[in-house]
Amino acid sequence: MNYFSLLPEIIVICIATVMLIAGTIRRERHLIFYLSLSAVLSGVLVLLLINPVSGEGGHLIQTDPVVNLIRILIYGGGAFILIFSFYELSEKTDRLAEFYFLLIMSLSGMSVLTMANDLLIIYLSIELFSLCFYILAAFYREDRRSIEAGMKYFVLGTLSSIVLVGSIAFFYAYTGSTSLESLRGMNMDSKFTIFGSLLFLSAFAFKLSLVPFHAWSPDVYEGAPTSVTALFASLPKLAVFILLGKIFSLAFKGIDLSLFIIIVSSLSMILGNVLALRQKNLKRMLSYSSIAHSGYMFTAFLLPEQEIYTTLVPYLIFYLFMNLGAFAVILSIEKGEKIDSFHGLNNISPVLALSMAIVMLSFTGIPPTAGFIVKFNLFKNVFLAGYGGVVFLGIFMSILSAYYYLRVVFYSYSSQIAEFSLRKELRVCAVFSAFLVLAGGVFPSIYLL
Amino acid sequence: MSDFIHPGLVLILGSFLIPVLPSTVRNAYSVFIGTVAFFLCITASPGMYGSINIFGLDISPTIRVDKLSLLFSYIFSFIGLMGLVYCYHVKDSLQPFAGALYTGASIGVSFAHDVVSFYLFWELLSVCAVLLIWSQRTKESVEAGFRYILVHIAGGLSLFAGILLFVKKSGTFEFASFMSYSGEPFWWLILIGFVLCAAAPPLHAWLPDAYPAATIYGSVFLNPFTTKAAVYALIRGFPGAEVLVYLGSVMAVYGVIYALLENNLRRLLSYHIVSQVGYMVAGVGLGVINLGLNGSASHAFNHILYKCLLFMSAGAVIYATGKEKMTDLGGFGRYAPFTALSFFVGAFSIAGFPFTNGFIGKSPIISAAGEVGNVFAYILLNVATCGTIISIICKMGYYTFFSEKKTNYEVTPLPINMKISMAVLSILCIGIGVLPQLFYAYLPFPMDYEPYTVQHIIDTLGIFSFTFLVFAIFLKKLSPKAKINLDLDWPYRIGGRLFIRGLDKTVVPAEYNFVNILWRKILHDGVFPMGDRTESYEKKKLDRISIFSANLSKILSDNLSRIQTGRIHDYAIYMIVGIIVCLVIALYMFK
Amino acid sequence: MMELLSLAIISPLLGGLLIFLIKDRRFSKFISYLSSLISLIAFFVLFLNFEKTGGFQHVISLEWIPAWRVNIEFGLDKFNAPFAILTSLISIVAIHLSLRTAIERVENYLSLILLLQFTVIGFYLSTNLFLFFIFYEAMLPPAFFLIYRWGTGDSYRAAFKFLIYTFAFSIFLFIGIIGVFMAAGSFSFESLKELNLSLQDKTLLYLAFFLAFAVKIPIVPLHGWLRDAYYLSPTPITIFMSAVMGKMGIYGLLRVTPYFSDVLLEIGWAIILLCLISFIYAAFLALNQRDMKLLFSYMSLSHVGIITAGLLSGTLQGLNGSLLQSINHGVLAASFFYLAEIFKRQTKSYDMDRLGALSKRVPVLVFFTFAFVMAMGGFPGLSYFNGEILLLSGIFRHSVILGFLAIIGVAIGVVYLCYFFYRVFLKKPGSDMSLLVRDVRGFEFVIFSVFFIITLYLGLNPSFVIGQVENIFTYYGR
Repeated sequence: MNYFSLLPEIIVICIATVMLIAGTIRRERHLIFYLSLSAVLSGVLVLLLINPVSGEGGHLIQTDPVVNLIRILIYGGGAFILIFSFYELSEKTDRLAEFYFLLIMSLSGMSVLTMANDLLIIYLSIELFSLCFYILAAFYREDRRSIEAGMKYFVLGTLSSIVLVGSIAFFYAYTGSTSLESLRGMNMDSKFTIFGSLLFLSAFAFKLSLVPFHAWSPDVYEGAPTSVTALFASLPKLAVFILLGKIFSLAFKGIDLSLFIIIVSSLSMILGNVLALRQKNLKRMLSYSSIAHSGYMFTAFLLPEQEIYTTLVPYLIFYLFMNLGAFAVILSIEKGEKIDSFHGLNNISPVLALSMAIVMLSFTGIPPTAGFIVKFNLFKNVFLAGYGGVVFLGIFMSILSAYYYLRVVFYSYSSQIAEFSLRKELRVCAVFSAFLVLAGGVFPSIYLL
Repeated sequence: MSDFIHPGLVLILGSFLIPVLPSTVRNAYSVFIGTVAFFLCITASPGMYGSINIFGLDISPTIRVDKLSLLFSYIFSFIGLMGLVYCYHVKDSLQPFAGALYTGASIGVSFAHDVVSFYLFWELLSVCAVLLIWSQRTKESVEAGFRYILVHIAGGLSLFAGILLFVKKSGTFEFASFMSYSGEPFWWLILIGFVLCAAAPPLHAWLPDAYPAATIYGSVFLNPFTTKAAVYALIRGFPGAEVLVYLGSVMAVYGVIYALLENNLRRLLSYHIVSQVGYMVAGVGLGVINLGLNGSASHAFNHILYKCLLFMSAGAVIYATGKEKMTDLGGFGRYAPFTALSFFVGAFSIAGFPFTNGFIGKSPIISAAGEVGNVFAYILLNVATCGTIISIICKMGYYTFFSEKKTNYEVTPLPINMKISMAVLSILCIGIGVLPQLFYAYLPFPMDYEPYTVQHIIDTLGIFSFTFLVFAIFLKKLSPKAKINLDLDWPYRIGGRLFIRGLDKTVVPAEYNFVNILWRKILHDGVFPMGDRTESYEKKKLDRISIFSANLSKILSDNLSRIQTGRIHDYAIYMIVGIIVCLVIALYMFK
Repeated sequence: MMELLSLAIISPLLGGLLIFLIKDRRFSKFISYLSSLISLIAFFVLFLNFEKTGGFQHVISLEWIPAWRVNIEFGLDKFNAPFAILTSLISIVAIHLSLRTAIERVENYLSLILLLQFTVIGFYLSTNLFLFFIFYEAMLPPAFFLIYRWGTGDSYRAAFKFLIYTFAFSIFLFIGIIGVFMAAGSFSFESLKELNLSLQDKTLLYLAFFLAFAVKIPIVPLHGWLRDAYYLSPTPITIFMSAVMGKMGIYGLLRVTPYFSDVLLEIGWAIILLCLISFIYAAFLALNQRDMKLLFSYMSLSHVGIITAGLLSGTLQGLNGSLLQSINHGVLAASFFYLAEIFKRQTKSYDMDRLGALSKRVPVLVFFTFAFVMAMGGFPGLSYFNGEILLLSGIFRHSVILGFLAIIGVAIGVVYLCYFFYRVFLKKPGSDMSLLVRDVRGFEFVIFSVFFIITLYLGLNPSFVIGQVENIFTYYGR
């Protein structure tokens, strides 16, 4: 077991524990905040400076530069969520320390997930962050919707965990080991392999909110506190997709799961986009949007293995920032989850309106934003791999999506003004995300390989 | 181009100054450029000149000055000048402008050697004509102008299509005789284009519709150019085409018949144009021998002179009295003897009385018909002469100038420039009539023809006397009626002309009910409603498409969202069912 | 020379950004004029200094995405230089016209126009398909905002229809360029030469391109966005759309079609028929219009139909003719819409029935309108005639029947133009609004004169734009 790779997690958890203890003794917001922030940032620093890379060979966890990059992003994104939740929650609740602790634990869980090289580690890390998520979703104990969200997430999440455990048991029974490498040795054409891999993937499809495992997501996204929704929308996908990438290129290589992938992703694209059309609640709309985008990203698994990472990683990075930017704007506006609050945003804060516009354009996939480049890249590769129909559907759905994404933009630039107040501090985050998205669109050579 | 200054271009370019000059200078200037152009025409030396470069294609030469084109250019420039003199007193700048432009374009047509520049000038003719028609600025004239545009566009496009096909087929741009291609589709297309401008029935209806609707000065300009340019084009391009003989003869008689029935001074003259142009067209058709072509050219030349004189006189009558119809006039001769005199000079010329230029102009054609042995043409053309005599000299002349005054009209004195132009033309008419050989020297083809043979003079005088006699007897019956009377019974009485009766049953209703009204109908009931219908179709159907697809997505979205019931067990069921379905399919597929 | 091209391309972008950042009214007006003017002059100088044969010249190239072998590359050649000049000229006119009408938030408006200009110029000047696609899409947001925020009436729907139509059909462009990439391995235009595909595949590919461009031109039946978008947006934007953005579609076809001449031999007649139907259909729509702006919108729709038909005829004349006629149409459409705007400003309406009997009151305006009506009707000596001859001869060479259809459409075109002229200027008696019309003066006169001079000059010297009619196909390397 390569403990060195776990160094960031160890440091992060230690500082977090200190924060928890300090925070429960002295309920002081700023102290808690800065301690948590330092925990997360130290994780980032360690990863940047030390960049632990493990060697080859059957360890339980394994990292390499790409995985480390993702971990940095996880922690970095987590920092954003910290900031978001500080401004959203810190006055409303006195259990801030617990909140942050759970948040940081979930970050560590996701980070370990990306490193996992063994089925049991996968299960452990998923449970770790899922349990944290369930509690975070239900954090507003007085709000019925929040409790309902947490409840739904818990029950359905447990269901998927059962399926996951089932598939792990299945694989264990079949191969005699829980390590990922042993999965490679399976007979690729046998029914059992397919059976097992489908079960396995279904569990992850839940986390990714792919059809037909998506049904929890709108209700949960809507009910949870907004910063938690931001967390749900951006980070888990990052971790899970990277893990799946590893699995597809190592373990499931050779198994023909293309039918499953095509069906699931097509349904997700259709359902996500069509259902988002009528949404007036931005959090719900973004949940459908995330269903759709998961659908797009899932098609990357049709590609030959060397292209999976190069296609997915840029998409995931900018997807993260798009979501963070969108939620930053939503959080800045009082009652920001209702789309009607966006009327006339431009008159009050042109900066926010512009950032939102850039982010929405990026979601749709209109140049010169990064969203366009990564989507184009994805569709191009899938098309060249021979799956033209899926691409066609994807583009068609993207066009449909223009309606609901750009509707927000239109409202912001309209002349009637809704009454709202503004939380100015989060503007920096919004601008930063928008800037990254725009820059990614103009200088794609940085990340396209 | 240094040795040849194109008079047409001088007029065209010069005319653009006319609208901007102050009114004191304007008319003098227009007369000036008219004179310059005439001078240039007279002094032009035969040859080929000029070249243009379009789209990398070198077309040279573009200007051809030979006897035929010179003849036509002389008369065009001269009559243009006379027209400008005639309207010297007019305050409106549009008419001299359009008139000068029109003259210039016709000169351009006659000098064009290549089909491209020919076509350009040809189109310019239509434009100027429409401007002149519109210059009257009444509702009627505007509508007439529109109909004119439509007809001439159709003709122009037919011509254009024909030219394109011609160039493609023959590879050259030279505008010369097309007879070697006779029968090809483009031959017909070009022929139709020319014939339409020459006002051959059934494509003639624009002429009596539009010409009387213009101002009196406009009519003076309108009548010589378009139709005679078409005649020139026919002489140049279709010499000896036999179909033209028949067409021309029918035209000659057709025009005269309607002229007989007409009441409006200028419309009568317009139908007459159809008739006289018929002579010329027939002459072209008979052009197998030079007599026919020469006859055509000379007739055109002379016809312009006396027709303009007639229009000028009619215009003078209208100017002086304000009345256009013969039923409102009568006895005008005693107020304006000068006008009456000019009129009768023109009238006798058109009828072809000896010592007028009409006599020497028309007879070559009739003789050509005789020499070739074409009985049909010979008879019809002579019949038309009778009709001409009756309609113009007798009917128009008598009822306008001599009979009792029918309404009380006031007489305004004529301005001197009108009198001058009429005088000049009258002198020319008589002058050329008296000195035919001088004139014949200018004809394009060498000809040995002496019109003043005793035989011929006696023949002509005979026709005249007989016709006068008939007229005197049937005076009352021939008096103009205010309405167009569809079944006048006097034609039946002239020597049992069943021929005319037959026409009356078929062609008269055809003319008034169908040909004239038909294309009005086509426009108002066909073309314009298409516009409305298209628009309503667009509104109903096409707009629906976008609304439909938007609604479709809305409905789809609303209905699909029902699966998010909000109940946990439903969601769980989705998941479990999903897994089971996947597994079943997978297992089934990988049997 | 290369710097000049960069300057020409960058200046609208910089201008737009500057205005966006420094929101001062007078400054923005100054900068907007300045950047468009710089662009125009630079393009003009470049145009005068290059030969009208050969490949792309004055190319700027920046490494961009090596993975896809795509660089940011702009170049001028015979086909896109006239369009670039037209774009710059029209945007100056549009900016000028915009400033004469009172607009709120002028700074945002101007910066959006400049951005739009930049994207359109980028489209015209790009040398590979990927950039093509990017600018095709990138043009949509500024255009949308311009229509939506500053338009009248239900401009939201109009802008939306425009957006969805264009965006939806960009799917086909995407498929097209991916198809090319798949077949030839690169996105550059030259790679279109080496497409080794079966005829059927090539036909599908070409149809994809055609659909994507046909929605921009537009061709019936993909024209549903045109009426509202043109009519409800502010007239300067309509001018820009009609004169410049419609030509984007034509330019796209111009670029792509010569490589697909075998496809055109098979299905050419069908698409030409479609374009001619569009031509005649729109002419009928225009026939009974009483509203000036709508009349001109339909007129625009109609004429681009025949331009495209000529292009698709696959003949030398047709290609050259469509290039020339696009420029001519751009200038003339701009002048007509400008005219409509003058009437709007003075009489507050576009209604033609409330005018009439103006010929004596406003002689200069009448003169200019008459000149433009003559030009549009195809009067020889003015620019439109040359284009029409080329287009018609191209269509005729392809098929005589289609040529006749085209001629019918031309005839109807003249009719509604004459009606327009009559109803507005000649009809007696005039109606109430006529008294409000005053003659052109000052800047209006200058602009009309400029248009008139261009029309006249191109009428007498069309080779300024299209050069000698040489064999284009050697240019395209066959």
